[in-house]
Amino acid sequence: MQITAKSLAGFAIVVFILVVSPYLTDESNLFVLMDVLIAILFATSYNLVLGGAGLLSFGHAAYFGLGAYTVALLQAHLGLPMLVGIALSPIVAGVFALLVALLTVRLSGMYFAMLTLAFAQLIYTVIAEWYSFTGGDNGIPITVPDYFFVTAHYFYLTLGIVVGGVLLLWLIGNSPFGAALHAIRENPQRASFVGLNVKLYQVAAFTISGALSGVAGALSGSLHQMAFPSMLYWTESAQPVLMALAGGIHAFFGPAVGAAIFTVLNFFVASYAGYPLLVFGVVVLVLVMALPEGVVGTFRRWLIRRRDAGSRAAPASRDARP
Amino acid sequence: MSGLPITRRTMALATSAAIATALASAPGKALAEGAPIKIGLTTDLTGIAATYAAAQVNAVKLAIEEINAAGGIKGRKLELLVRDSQLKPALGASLTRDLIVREKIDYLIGPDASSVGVAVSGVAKQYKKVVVMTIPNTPRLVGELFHKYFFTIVPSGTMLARAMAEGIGKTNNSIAFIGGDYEASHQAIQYFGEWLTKVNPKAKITAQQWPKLGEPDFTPYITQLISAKPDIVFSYLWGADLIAFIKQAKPYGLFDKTKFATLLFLDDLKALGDDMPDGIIGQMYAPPFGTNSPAMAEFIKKYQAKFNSFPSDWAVMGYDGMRILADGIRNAASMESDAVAEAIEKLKFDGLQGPLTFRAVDHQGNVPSFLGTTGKVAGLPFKGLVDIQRIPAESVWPTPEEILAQRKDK
Amino acid sequence: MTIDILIQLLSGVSRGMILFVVASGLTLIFGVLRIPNFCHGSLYMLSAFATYSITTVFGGSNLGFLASLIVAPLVVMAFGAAIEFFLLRRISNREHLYQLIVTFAITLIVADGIKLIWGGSYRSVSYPPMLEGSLSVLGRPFPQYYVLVIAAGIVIAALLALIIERTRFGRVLSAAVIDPEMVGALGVNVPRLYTTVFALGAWLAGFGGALAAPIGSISLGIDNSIIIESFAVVIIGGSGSIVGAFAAALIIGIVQALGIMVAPRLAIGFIFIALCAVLLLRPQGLLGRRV
Repeated sequence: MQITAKSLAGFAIVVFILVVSPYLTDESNLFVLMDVLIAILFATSYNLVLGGAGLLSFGHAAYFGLGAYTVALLQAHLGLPMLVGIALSPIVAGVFALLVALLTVRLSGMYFAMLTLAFAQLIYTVIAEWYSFTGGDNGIPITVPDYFFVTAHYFYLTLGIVVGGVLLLWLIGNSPFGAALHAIRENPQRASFVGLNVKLYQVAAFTISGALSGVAGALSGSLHQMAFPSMLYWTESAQPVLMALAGGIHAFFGPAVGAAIFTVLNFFVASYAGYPLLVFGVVVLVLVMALPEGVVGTFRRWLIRRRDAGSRAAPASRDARP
Repeated sequence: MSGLPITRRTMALATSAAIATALASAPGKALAEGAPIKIGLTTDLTGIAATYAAAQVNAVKLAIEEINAAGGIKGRKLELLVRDSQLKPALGASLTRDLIVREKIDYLIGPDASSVGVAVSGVAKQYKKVVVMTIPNTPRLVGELFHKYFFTIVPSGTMLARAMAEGIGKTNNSIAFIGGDYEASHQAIQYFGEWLTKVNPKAKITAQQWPKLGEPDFTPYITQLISAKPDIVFSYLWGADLIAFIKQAKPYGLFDKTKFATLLFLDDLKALGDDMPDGIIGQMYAPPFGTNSPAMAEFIKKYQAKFNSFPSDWAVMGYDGMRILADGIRNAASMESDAVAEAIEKLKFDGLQGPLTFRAVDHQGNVPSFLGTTGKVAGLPFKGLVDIQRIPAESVWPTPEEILAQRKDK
Repeated sequence: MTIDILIQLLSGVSRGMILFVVASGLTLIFGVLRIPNFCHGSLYMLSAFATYSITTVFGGSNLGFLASLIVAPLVVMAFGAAIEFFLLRRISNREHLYQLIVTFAITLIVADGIKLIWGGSYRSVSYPPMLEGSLSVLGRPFPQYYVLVIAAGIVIAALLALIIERTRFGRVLSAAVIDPEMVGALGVNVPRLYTTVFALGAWLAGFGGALAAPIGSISLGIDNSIIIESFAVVIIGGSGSIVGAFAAALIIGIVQALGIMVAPRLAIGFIFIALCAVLLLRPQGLLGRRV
């Protein structure tokens, strides 16, 4: 989870390109870009649990969906505008994530995965069934203010929130809190021997992750102008897992790269391939089988190996992983 | 979306990019004359409703082929672009928007699931694109979500529920209901109940059963329905659920003990084959055997020859929907959405099921629905409906006042 | 009324038996390989579609039904063995997470693969002619086919118990559920054990699919509902425990059947409430070992 000066520079360049992209590309690509940005926030915040705390959650679609429902329900029942909904989405999603985390962190491994899946399905069921409050399977529309109907305006809103969210996650990863999570992931027993409250850290990571997933969901719901129960269905929970794994869970920007690859792939496969699931499934299979460390992890290893080969005698670079 | 996005106004800031953009979008204008008219079709080719979508795509393709073979419209060929929304409303919205913004399609033809229909209708409204719907039928589409570019040739949920009440309400006093636990069937029983009090004030809905969609085991519901001892069971199950229900109810003798009336798709008849019991009252949208006309016979022949399968309700509506859109484009003063919408509104269309027009208040086509009894039909490789009763739209559709009231409530 | 409840109970048992057959395969795979096999539902669905093809060839005769009951699970078993041998085995040294993702990818591939082979429309398999009627239970009709299902479930349970109690393979399997590393240390060929267990699990999923085919409809999407219920059975029963799976499947089948009489709207959420409760109170499951 270490961030190097180089990757930070790369991040700045990517953000700059994104800032000017409304001038470079047309509206259709902006829409795809927004889906990519939202997926990046979702996958990066998800990875705080998987790569950060070493816990496999298989129920993050619930927090993503709760974010979208926060915007929609506040609008439908209290008449609050979209931006207020987006601002409150991390609180609502975070509270649910906290409750689930408190109940689940006592388990580990695949049992933890199963329990997060079960709770997510429970939340899904309530939302899909509670007609009078949520509109049931019909979903609820989200009204977007006129200003944000202009694609570029909504793009900048999305970009600002996603970059802010990713920076926040980066700061968390590099804080003492992140260091403690790292220690717990590497060796939970040793971490508890040196006095770390392992469960507390895991609960905190899960809550933050859920909260920011909620923000991603709020942005997605507002972009597509609706909240639907299918956003919370268990198969959707596989998405951030796949993205994080494809990009690499031990590199901070791995999930972001995975999110970009999968979102674009998903989009084009749905547009042009006759059998989208087949194509998508084969790509996942190949990525997982061939690139165990994900795209970013493999690329970084390749870089390090090349540099090591080039300067075998030289002392280790300060950029190298500890 | 009002006006152009910011990109266009500030393009001068990045000259090279502007040139690239201009080049990329140049074909749209320069080749407009003689270039194909692009039709966008977002539908659910993946998931449980895939079989309906497949028939829809086939039929739309067939119609386009015929139109193109006859020289196209105003000297231009039609080109179809299909996208797979996979039963996900958000994906449906994304793909439809992409068809409009990137592929520059000119008109839309309807999706599959009602939830995706709602999403597609929203995008069509935002970008002012004419959309003709041929499968979705939630009453919200003609109600609070209505806009002037929207047209439908599907009997709405309201119309079907009322038609069912007309068909079975007069002669049965105790009615038990079973329907999948989702919005459409909750609406169905509500509209059915309201109409029932009009046609037969003595009739009562004595039991309601709500299995979840995709329920594998209907036995508990079947035994409950049997012990309710109704005059008739009204079912809003369809597709895979209806098949499972019928197969499980048969050995319990449900169909010997009580009459059974259900929503029914041609796909269900096809799948069940000889396992379909005789004597069930089926309500169908647009079965090819429901209309006895040379045009329908010709369509069945062409469809079977091309796709090697019997056309379903969705094929009938998809074929007519595409031809309606084509007639609208042909009759319109210009290619603009407003002109085409106006032309479709005035259209007197000669459809497979007879003449068809749209009314102004909700752009609902005056399409019939059908009630009949299951049984062997000559010339069909599976069972069909006999003693078919054609229920005209005019007898069951909501009055304009009702539609306006529905919109005001929301 | 009491007869109603009894009939309801019997139908719950028959549903539970199909769930047991499918979930017993899942629990063996989870217990020994430690993978939540997401594609288990896909194997079930694949077998149902294969059953459709086989019975169609035989024109819906009794012979066709028997043939499908034998052939379809074997086809699925071969497919399962291939998944383990060509994919999972190659990444067995990595975290289980990767194997989970591989099984998830297979669910996508199978779903579209079935559409590619059989088309998108739903299908129906007739009851075998010898079992299409019903018998009388206290004056009420009860489908003959469900009697076969209940009998088949009990036979499978007995056979599995026999294999586990009486054979060397069974003892190795039980040991692997407790500690896979120990089994390796004892000189057992662990990769071969894994392939065998996965193939056996796949056969059970396939047998469940073939058995269930005449009861419901065969459509894309039947994998999703069975997999979630099967996971619930594994968790409630305890990983790797056949007896636990049998008990849990019966409980789920019966409580769902009776629950519909009491609170129909809650039936859909019941399974998850039960699941969460068991995981919180007794994470190792009713009959599982501590984790």
